[in-house]
Amino acid sequence: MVKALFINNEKVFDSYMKMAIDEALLLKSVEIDTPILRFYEWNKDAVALGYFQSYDKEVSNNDVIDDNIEIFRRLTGGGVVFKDSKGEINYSIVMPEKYVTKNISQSHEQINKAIITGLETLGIEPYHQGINDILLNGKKISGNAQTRKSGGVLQHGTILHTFDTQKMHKYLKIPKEKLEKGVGTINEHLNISKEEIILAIKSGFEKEFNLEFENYVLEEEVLEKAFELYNKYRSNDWIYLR
Amino acid sequence: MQLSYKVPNGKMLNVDIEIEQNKIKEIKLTGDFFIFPNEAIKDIENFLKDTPINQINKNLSNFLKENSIEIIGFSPQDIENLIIKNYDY
Repeated sequence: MVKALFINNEKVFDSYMKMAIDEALLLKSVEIDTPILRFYEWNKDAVALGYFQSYDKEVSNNDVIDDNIEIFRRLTGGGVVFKDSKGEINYSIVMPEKYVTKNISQSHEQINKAIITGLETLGIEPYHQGINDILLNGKKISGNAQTRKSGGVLQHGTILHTFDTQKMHKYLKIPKEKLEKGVGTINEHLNISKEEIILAIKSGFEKEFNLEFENYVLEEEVLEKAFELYNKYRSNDWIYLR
Repeated sequence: MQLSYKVPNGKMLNVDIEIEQNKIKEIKLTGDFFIFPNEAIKDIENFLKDTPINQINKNLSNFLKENSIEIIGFSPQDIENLIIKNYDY
């Protein structure tokens, strides 16, 4: 069994701090050679850009400004995501690279398998598709994105409990090729709470990575590092990087 | 010139490009793909400057291999095909 740390459902910080904490935890995880699994929620709607995406090509800027939607850029690649604060469950897993396959595509599947294994305990049959998606009955219920840095791997993503598609179409410029992949939610199939989903996913990571979790509260050293990184995530240079 | 292509079983690739005398003058690659390490995107774009557009695949493939850069979601061939398909020599 591998000792790991578990942070459950932080809802306090803004988007930029949430991303800064993910990166600070990545560094911490490598330092102490311990995987860390974190769940968190947004307390207001937001839009997340992938690291390599163009702000102008992806975001309907006028609506976003008018409605005071927070826009942020992830450290990870992948696609733009409308963060439905009511409907989503968000996770991040960080660990030293030795815990995942060297092959990056395979490691996406490996980590997604932990989520899938966990969700299966709820009586549903989700599956991995493409590079980084998890589908249920033909619709995407989870998007995930990974990066590797400083000897560690960070993968974070969302699992949809419920979802407001109208808002997604309002704030994002979605190419028609992407619309073919419908968005689904767990709530369409199961009457279940977010907390039950979180515990199920946690059990999936326990099984697939042989982890034994202990509860962890963000310590001062990690928060200090996150506050440093906050300046990067909050800056226009970063948000409008591409 | 702004070009876009959804790579089959891959990701969306957007190429913003200026071409002079059939060579890349400026190029910007955006999309929902992944590049490892992240920072290599800039190295790729700088490398591609002055590359003849019919040698993008060959040159970039070598560059990626020599520098241990991994792209997930599109290939150097996808960039070359997209540009050549849309450019009048």
